[in-house]
Amino acid sequence: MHELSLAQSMIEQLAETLKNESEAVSRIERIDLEIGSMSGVDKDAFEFVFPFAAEGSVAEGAILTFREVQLQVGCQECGAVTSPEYPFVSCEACGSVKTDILAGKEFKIIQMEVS
Amino acid sequence: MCEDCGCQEGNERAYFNQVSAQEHAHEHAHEHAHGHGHSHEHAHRHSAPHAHSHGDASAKAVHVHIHVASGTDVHVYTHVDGGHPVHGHPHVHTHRHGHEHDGQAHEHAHEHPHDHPHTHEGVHQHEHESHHGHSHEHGHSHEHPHAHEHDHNHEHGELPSEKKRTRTIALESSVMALNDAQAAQNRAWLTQRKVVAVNLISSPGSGKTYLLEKTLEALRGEIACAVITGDMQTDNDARRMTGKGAKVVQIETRSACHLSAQQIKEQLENVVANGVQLLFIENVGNLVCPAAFDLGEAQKIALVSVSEGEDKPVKYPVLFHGAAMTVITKIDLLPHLDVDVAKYKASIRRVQPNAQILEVSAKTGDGMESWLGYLRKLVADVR
Repeated sequence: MHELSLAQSMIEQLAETLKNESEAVSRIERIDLEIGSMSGVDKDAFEFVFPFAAEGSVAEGAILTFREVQLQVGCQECGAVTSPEYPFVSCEACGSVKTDILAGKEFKIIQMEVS
Repeated sequence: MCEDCGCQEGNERAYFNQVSAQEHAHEHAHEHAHGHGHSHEHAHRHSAPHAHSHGDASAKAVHVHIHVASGTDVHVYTHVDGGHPVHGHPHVHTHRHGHEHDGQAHEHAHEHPHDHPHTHEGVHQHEHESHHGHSHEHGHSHEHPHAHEHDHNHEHGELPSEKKRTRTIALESSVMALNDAQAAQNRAWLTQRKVVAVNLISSPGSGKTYLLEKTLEALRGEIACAVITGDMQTDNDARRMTGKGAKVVQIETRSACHLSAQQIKEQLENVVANGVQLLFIENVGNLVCPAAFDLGEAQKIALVSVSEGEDKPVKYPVLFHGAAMTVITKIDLLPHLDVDVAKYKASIRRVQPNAQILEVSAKTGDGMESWLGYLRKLVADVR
């Protein structure tokens, strides 16, 4: 995965969001993220590259927190919501392969704490 | 600017990739006298990247020291040693110094020593409890003399006891939001013009270009096609596909290992002339990154050749899960290999139970009619 370009993209988004804030912000203190097990993003690599991407930006020095989200599928046949072991997507309850992925693919910014 | 890593010599931009001696000579001799008797005059910017070897001439290590002053002093020392036989450890030491000068309390705690040899995976956070008068020797036996000029403008952070006023701003948005937004725009643009776009993704060498050459020849005069092809370097693929009745454009990404929605957007008006019905996007050969970047295509088509290993799909599930169709290529090689196509199919179905799968040889033509039929149907379905 391309963690550096993701970090840069994230910082761009945060800077954009801050433009719409009425109260001035001097820096971002903390960024809370959510990573799904099937997102294709490596948490360690992202943490590693973040300082480089953030240098000189309003996100410089921010702390990152990660909430890991397990893969969750909804079964079209039995209706159960289960967590099969990534990367397999079959329903844990009835074994059906006809499932919809409900969670686990995301890489989201939940919120940021600013000062 | 260095096309490989984006750094600009003499500029304040840090880079961290391992670089070979031939590519850039960023040799800066640095004396890093970290005599921290705590006259912490450094709010200094020291981002001169330098490469040096640790007594092993074949390894080039990149050390980037970034000392930045912000509200709280944060010193980030990043040592990236790629491929060093003795200690291959990336370290990020985050030292938070909440301190005040001029007779007031210093709160520095360094829990050194570092005994070597050690391995650090990932990020190191050092939480420091108070003591003073420490010297920053990392006992690293790293032997790095670094000298740096600082411009000392010292900005003092607030007292640690003084709580900064902070507030939370909720976002709940995907980190990929910018790429995804552009991809959605691309998708809308294509849909409006009834153009079917397919994003071909595979390992380098699976046969994307050759399959496209044969496809363009076969569909010439029947379906108006266009091609955007991506590679890190060269326009070799575009040249191979030119002259077969379709407009072909090459994107040379230089350092990126995948195409992005922005790059596609920049080519759409250029390559999709009036009347084009089918747009092939041939991604950079890579099973990892392209899978995560939506370009605005109607569907991703994965290719895997018969010599790559029957478990390839299970090893790279993000791609094979996200591809509506997987084409098993180069089936003319089967007599020379000990592989079972049924096992390939089983691997694909394991990660994408609803996958459509085709087996082709662009060279002999075996299976090509089914492949062309698939494309014809995609085009017919949007008319």
